[in-house]
Amino acid sequence: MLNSKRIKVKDFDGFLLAVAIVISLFGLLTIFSAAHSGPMSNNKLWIAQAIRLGIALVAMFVALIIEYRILYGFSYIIYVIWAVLLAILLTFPEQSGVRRWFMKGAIQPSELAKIILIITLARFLSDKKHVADQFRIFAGAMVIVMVYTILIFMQPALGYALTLIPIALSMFYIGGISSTYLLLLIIPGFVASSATIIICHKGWDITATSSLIKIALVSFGYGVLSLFAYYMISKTRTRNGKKWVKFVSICIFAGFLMALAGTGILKDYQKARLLAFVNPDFDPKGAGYQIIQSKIAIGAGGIFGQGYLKGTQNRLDFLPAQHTDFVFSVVAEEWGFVGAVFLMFLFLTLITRCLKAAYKADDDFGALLATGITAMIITQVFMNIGMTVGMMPITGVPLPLMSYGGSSLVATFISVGLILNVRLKRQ
Amino acid sequence: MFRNHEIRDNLIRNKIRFILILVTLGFGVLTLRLAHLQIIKTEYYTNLSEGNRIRPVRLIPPRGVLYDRTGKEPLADNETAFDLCVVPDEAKPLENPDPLRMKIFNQLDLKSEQVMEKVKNSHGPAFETVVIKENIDKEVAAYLAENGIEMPELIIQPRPKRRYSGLATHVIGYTAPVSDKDIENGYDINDMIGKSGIEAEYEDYLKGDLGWKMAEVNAFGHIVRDLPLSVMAEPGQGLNLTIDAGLQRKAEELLADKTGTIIAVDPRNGEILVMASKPDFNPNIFSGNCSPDEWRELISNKDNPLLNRAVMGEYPPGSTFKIVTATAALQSGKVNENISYNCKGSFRLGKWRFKCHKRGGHGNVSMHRGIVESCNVYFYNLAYNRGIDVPLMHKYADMFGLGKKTGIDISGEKAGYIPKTSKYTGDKINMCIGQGQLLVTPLQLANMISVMANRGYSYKPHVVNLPGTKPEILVDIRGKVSPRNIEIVRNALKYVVERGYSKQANLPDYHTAGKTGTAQNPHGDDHAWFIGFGPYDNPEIALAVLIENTGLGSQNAAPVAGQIFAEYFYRDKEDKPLIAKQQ
Repeated sequence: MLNSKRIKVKDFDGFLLAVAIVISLFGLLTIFSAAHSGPMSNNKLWIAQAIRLGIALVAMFVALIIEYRILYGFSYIIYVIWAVLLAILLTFPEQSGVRRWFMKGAIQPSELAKIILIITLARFLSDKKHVADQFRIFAGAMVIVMVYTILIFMQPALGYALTLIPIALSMFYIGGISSTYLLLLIIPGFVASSATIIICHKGWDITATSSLIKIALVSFGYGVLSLFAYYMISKTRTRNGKKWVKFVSICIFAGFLMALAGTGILKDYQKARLLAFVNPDFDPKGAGYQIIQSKIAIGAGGIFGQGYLKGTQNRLDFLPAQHTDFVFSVVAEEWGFVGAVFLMFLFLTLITRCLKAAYKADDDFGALLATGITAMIITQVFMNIGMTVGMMPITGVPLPLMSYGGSSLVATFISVGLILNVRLKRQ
Repeated sequence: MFRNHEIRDNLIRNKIRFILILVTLGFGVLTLRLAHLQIIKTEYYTNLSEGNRIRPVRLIPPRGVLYDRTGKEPLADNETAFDLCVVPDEAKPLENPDPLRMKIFNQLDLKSEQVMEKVKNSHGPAFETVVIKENIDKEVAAYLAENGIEMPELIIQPRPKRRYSGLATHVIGYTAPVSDKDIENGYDINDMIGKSGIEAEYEDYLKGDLGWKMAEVNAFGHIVRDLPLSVMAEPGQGLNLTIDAGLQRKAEELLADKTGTIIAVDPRNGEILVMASKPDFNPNIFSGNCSPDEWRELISNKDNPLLNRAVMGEYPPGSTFKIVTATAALQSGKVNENISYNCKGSFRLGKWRFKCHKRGGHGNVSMHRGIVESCNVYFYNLAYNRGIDVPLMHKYADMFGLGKKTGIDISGEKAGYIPKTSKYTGDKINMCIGQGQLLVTPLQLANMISVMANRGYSYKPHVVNLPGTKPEILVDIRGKVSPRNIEIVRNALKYVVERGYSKQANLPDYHTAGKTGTAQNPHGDDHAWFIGFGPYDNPEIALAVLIENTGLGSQNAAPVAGQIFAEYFYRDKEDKPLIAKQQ
């Protein structure tokens, strides 16, 4: 499967790999600091993460050497198998309120689900490239995305489910889906999220109907919306400006309906997080606590930081989940503005190199694959850092390559491997 | 189908460039946000961070130790008690049963629900510890301190705790948790404050000055380390009481199964050597949280153990008042010491008969015998025939310090009551022998007998000698009563012990003097009095003994006084007379 004659060594993006490894090593250093002291201290955590880094590198290597177009062939089968797996997971007994893991937290299938979704979507969109602006292509792509989104959302893992939306958007965008449909996704999305916060804030209770009906409501909302957009597309060719006003108002109305249903689906802690995002002082000892403590840690870091292993918010455990979700806050506290910006610069470099692979890809499948994977990394980075600085609600999305946890690390390195793969195969 | 050899169309490349621009803009926004948090508002967040981790910890000074007069025997000192606490913020694990914790709770008689209730009802900040069990067993405390890591939600807090020897309970008083009013006056809700006796009177000396230290705490409220900035606590000033622990112990033994009080004063300076009041209470129960049951029992006990009978008890003085009557009679010039009356056992006034305690009568009685044998009829005659009336007796009682507080440094002192005027002739007949409406405190009588001991003056009684203070004169009758008249009464007091009814208060080698009394008690048996001093020539000790509900003073109070005298004079000597060996 590997034909050495077709590989040009200069196309192996060693710089991208180096940046990914540097970020991971910075992650190990930060995990050591985060788990260094306090009643929950565990000086072996960084060793466990180092072993996972080794496993992740092996996984990356595998993703690198296989012919990535083989994935094209298997994509639909793997998609179905993994969907069944995710459905089976939902029948498992809950572990601390959620069903996210197989084997007591060892394996988190939703991490790989994202990659599988990206591969599947890349195939679907590259196949339909020439008819991509048709509504049925948009509808088909939406079905592919929504099946996984709903399955992951029901675990419940709101953060993971939300990361799928930007991934899908970016792939739709590259894949040639009409921008009308994209707006159809974006506008109601914004409306729905802001409306959800308003509804939570007002304390409206629509739990009377069962959650299945609410999910159906959400889907129905999207259906109505999409049908209407189809109707619009066929008519807007006549350049009737007033139809757009109608279109936007319908989007807002539909988004509001979706939010109304959405609030019924959200768990109490998810609602509390949304409210705490709007106003952390609303419940400073509860849902707002993490946001407040994270901002304190970051702010107290100042320009040059408090020094490695010396951040008090980290060391004295005021910062919650400091080795997983809030690892960036530890960096910002101990290395200051300089260190935090440096880390963001590393991520920007990583993302730039990934996009370059999409840019230089031989075929549409590779371009879509690389774009989707890059979008996944981008989304996670922004959701995580945005959360720690108080610009995004708390969703429990890890910071790629930095946060403690094996599944995320392995998934990210597989992504890096696939990106390298797409880049490598260029003739 | 796999390979698309067309050059990637520019549209897709432009789209990828657009994504990169968006991402760069996103990082730009995040950088601005970080700059806002870390550069512009860093001071604000640094303060919050410091506020998180640095917590002022109150350093409670040890309360001043109270010693007896020798400075060797502590009457009230401090020990370390251990309180079991939780931080409400960290109380969540308590909801899950943990076998190790359940074991400890069982040992401490605690229930999880009960603890959760306490945590819920606490009003302080959620990160401040709440005491869930005070004064836990030291072994459990040590175990928890060692195995704290397994139960970080439980915290052991050491705290100085007052420990009382149990001697001179009413003098020492007790400490208890502060009241709302004390908190208004600047005390902390966790402070202890002196509530009675010396503990209350000398609170400002004993409490010391609070110290502060800055400690670094972690999110669970555990102190990680102390920071250099601190103000040391100033320990409370220790006090030497004038109480003689040995004598006090003897007095309390003598009163053990009785209700009554013993006071011994050094007449040369007013120092209280003994102040025992029975029944008493265990002052240690107030240091913790006194349970409502214990409190109710103390309050509703009809013997009133909280009452310090020595200064709060008011009784008719009985025949001890004859000292006042005799002095008044002699000094007013209305009676000559040689005038005598015949006692036939009773005195008639109209249709009433006033009895003498000796049924057959004393026969011919002069002033000397009147006092020595405590002949009521003699005094009735003085009152009835010689014009020793109520205002005159009031004047002399007042001169002796009766009817007003002595100003002793123990709170709650009562003034007693001396009638000033009368409507009926019977009033003065009653008053001259110390009955009727008259009320005195045992301390007032101890002071009065000190005046006789000193031949005309006494010092203000006190239990603490503050440095730089001198004994104050309280009563001085030397300008008002002639030395000769004082000597007549004083001499008679010697014979009361030597020949009269109080021989049991006498000692072989030391002359003592005194007067018995029997206070009529309308609610039950009479109260027995003895007041006295010794040695007769140069008195070192003056006594007042009151035993409630036992009858005659000569039979019940005088022997007790004798034991005290014996203890005082013979305790350091080897060949003790029989009386001193009695128990």
